[in-house]
Amino acid sequence: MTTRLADPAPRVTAVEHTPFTPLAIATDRCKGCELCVTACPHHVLELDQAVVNALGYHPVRLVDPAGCTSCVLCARVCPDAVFTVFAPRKEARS
Amino acid sequence: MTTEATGAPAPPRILYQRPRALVDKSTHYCPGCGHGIIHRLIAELLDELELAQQTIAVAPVGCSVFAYDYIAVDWIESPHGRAPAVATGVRRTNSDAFVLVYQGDGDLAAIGTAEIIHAAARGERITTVFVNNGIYGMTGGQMAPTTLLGQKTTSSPLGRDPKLAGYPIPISEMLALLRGVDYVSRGSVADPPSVGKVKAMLKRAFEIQRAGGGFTLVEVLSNCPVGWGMTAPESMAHLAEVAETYPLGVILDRSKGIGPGVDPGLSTRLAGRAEEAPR
Ligand SMILES: Cc1ncc(C[n+]2csc(CCOP(=O)(O)OP(=O)(O)O)c2C)c(N)n1
Ligand code: SF4
Ligand code: SF4
Ligand code: SF4
Ligand SMILES: [Mg+2]
Repeated sequence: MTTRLADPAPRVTAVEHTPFTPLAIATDRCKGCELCVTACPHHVLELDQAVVNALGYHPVRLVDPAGCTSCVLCARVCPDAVFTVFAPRKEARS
Repeated sequence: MTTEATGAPAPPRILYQRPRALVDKSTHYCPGCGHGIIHRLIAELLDELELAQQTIAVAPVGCSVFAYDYIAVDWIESPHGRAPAVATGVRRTNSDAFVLVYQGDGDLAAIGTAEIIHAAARGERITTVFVNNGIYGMTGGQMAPTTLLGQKTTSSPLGRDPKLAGYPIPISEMLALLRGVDYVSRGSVADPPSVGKVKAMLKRAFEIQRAGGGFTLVEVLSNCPVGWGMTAPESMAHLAEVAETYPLGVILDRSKGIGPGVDPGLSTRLAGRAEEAPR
């Protein structure tokens, strides 16, 4: 059976987390649908009205990194796989 | 590099990232369209179960016609509604392959009604992901057999009237009556917990196929914000109403004895079927 190799997705591994941020947001892929904004239990996501990305949408931004608990709910609903979610710093240290 | 060596904090652990089997490109789907969520779930499972290399998938006609551009496996594009027939050929000539079929409700429950019923009745060892958004999304939001009673579409501008257009077809419940079928369930992409349940349903279906079971299908209630004339969050909230017509849950899981008229004894007697039948 001939099989096309899986195209490697960009793997975010060694982001400089200074200061720590719980989310990496591929804003160029965001379509501004607001499903993540609705799903976030801590209301720390909003569309960035000051930015229009190459797709023509206002991309989402993390308003308050300290308020984000890395619960991953935003990533579960995003149809465009925009989010990389990192464990809270405390957990990463232990 | 250790924390001790550099004095820098260890890089944080990744809890979620884009699955490898999801091709790194933007999709043509409208903002907030459930097709993207369902593609992502499939890609996550192909990664987790290490299935991508052995998968042959069959794409439908509908908005998801370009699914072959987004999930990094081998694909065949089928004529409208005929994906189960194409997948039958794939299955019977590739006994080792993991065979995945992706269909919309217009594709599966309208023009392709015959193909899905007979593939299911034959017990083809394929897994169908049935994306039910109650509308013909691709062609401009016309009424489908799955459209809710009273629902306004471009071809039912006053709302679907059963006297004129009949009743919604619960195709999953109908398929669950067929002996060739081993698993049928219905989930929804309405919110994060529902999305998690869909993933568990897909996983169960994939595992039944890998274990040599018969036909498996997961219906996913999805949205079409553009066709429904709603914002994406409104369309997700509306899925609660859709689920009143199409109840959520496992409809048939034959080996667990769940489903209409399931005879667990018969299942045991036929358990070796996949090995016996030359496929
Ligand atoms: C033989 C044939 N008849 C009709 C069409 C037109 N057509 C294209 S997509 C579609 C309906 C698709 O609806 P669905 O399967 O629900 O997919 P969705 O776009 O909603 O995801 C139709 C009727 C076609 N492409 N080929
Ligand atoms: S990880 Fe959870 S808390 Fe953080 S932005 Fe996403 S949904 Fe909100
Ligand atoms: S769910 Fe995804 S595409 Fe939609 S606004 Fe959020 S990040 Fe953007
Ligand atoms: S028309 Fe509907 S189903 Fe098609 S991509 Fe747009 S929202 Fe999705
Ligand atoms: Mg449809």
